[in-house]
Amino acid sequence: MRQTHRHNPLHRIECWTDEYFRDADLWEVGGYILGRHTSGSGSAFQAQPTCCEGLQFQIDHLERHEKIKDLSEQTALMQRGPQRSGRTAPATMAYQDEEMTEVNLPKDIELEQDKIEDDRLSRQIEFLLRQQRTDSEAEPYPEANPDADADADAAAEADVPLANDDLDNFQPYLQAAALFGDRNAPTSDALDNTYVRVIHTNGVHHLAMVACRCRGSANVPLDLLAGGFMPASFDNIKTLFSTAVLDYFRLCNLELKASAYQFYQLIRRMTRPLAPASVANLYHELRRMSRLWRWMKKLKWAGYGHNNKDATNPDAGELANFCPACPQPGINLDDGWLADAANPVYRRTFVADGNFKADHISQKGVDIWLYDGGGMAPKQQDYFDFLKTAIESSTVRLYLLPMPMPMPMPIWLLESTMRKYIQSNYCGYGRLKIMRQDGNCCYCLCKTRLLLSELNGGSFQGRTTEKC
Amino acid sequence: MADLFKGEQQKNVDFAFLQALKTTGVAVQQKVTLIYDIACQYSVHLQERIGQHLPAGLIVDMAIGLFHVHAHKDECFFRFAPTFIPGIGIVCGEILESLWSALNNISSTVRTALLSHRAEMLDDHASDSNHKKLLGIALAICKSHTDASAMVTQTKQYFDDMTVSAGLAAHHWERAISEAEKRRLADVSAMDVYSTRNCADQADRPMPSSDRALNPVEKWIEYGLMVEVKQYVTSMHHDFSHHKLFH
Repeated sequence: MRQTHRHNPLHRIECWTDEYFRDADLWEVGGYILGRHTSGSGSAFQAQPTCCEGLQFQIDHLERHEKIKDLSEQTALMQRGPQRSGRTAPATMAYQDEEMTEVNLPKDIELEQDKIEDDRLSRQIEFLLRQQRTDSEAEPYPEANPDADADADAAAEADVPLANDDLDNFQPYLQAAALFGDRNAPTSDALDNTYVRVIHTNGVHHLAMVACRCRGSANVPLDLLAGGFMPASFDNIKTLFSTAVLDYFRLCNLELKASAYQFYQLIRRMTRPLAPASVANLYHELRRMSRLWRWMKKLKWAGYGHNNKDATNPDAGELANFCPACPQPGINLDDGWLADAANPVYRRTFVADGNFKADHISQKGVDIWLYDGGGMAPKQQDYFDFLKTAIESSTVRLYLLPMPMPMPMPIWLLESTMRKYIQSNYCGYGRLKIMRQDGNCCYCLCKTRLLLSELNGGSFQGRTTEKC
Repeated sequence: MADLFKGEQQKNVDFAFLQALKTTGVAVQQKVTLIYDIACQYSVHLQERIGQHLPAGLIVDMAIGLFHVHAHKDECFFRFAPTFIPGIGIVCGEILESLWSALNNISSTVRTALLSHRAEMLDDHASDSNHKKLLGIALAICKSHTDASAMVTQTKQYFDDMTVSAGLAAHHWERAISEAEKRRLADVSAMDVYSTRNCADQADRPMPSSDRALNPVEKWIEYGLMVEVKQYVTSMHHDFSHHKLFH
């Protein structure tokens, strides 16, 4: 199971319990997320992901550990013999938990394996500790292996508090495991690699993440990304989104207009159909990651990564689509077009229109613009600078009323008075806000477009509406 | 796409238009048409507002989409409807209205987002609409070309028939129209030649006459009109005489 799923760690598996197939997770059979190296020590990118010595050691060690587990499990099953329990008998697990493994571990096998591995392990630990010292920024990489090796315990003593810290801060997000009673989701694997939550199109997964910092901790997120996992943070990685789920959400949003909230509800339901609320709420993470993912896709489509441009500062409209149907000299027109410039085929047409459905409610919070001005929306600063100096010219003449209006006055009187004084050669409707002397205000529609604040010493505040 | 702050102010549209000119590779020698719901008002002081920002020598023409133009004054139809603008093609100029209807589906969800997230979402949906358009563009253009070829044959037949039946007047009309089209960029009111005139105007010009014989239907209509006029005149006389008798 673990071998066949090495390249598909997010597959959903089931487990026979002598009575029925229950939902199972790949962590139960030793599946994990493997962050193989795709980035070199420099910035060179390797097309073929590779495993360094440290990573290969981890793979081998975990495999050895799992083999012991498998063996003990098989032994336990053999001892129990073929069991055809009736409905009353308790369901027996085909996959035992780790405590069981410890108890049933045959002593001779353990000793034999340990002898072979001891030297290699201590060499490895030394290597990792050395690496840790050079990589001062990085969180120390826990390499303690308490259930397999006493040497490791001693060597990695310094790491234990931090490793524990991880465990303490690790939020239980699979309460369902406790809910069903038969699965104690571990928080770290045999090499004390942290378990991470992986959000995929088929729900939230719980798997160990086996990665290596030998090429710098900054390269771990890159390695993961090349493997199809987008980490939600860069230093202390606890949550991964598969690239498939981010693509899937973007398409659901574009085509089905699904909101992030709806989509995450779907993910929760797919994870635990009978207890969706017990799945951790990663709605905020999803929203954040979806923004990053969209940004990354747009940069990719615009050729960033190959053009050596500054991705944080794209040119105006650079991330928007190119329209091949618009005749653009120097791009899709023959050089000789100027001789025929009067031909209407070279004419460019723009359409402008207002939309009042997309109104916005101001929000609190730090607003971080990922690609300000790079897409269809203008760069904020440019726009505001233009608006500050822009001329707003009125195309409507103001007709001053020759006499002061008595206040307060009934609306019908106002309207009729207006009609009398306003020449009717301009069509249009305006909403008129009338400030009464008692402080209340009321609105009426008048048959013209006027700025009434300029009338009558500011007693009136008029607003024009847009439609003609 | 630019945010509006206080209704649909001209400066917002000015900025969007300038940005569009900047970012889509428009050359000065290309003529630019802006189709806008309220182009009749918007165009009046355009040069004063953004003349210094426009590329020097760029010809900017204005039009109003076919849905909106009918809600305007009568003369806006002849001055701004794409139907009467030479070279603009057969366009309704209301494409954004149909795009808004798709975009409005997500407008409600981005209403409470941060401004940056909202801009990104609207951008993504608008860009995706463009992307889908690009996927179908070749097929759409081929289909439009087939449709246009068929339509040209039809309209040409129709136009030729009209020209024959209009006789000499056709030359007069043609002259008036080409004159108006030449002047329209400087003075859109030149396009008013399309509109109907007062009888006073008509009186001093020769009635369109035909040098061919009338066909039976035309004869019958002419007869009907003649009868109607006679009836009218008779009733007037009758009223008048009645009036007199009464006194």
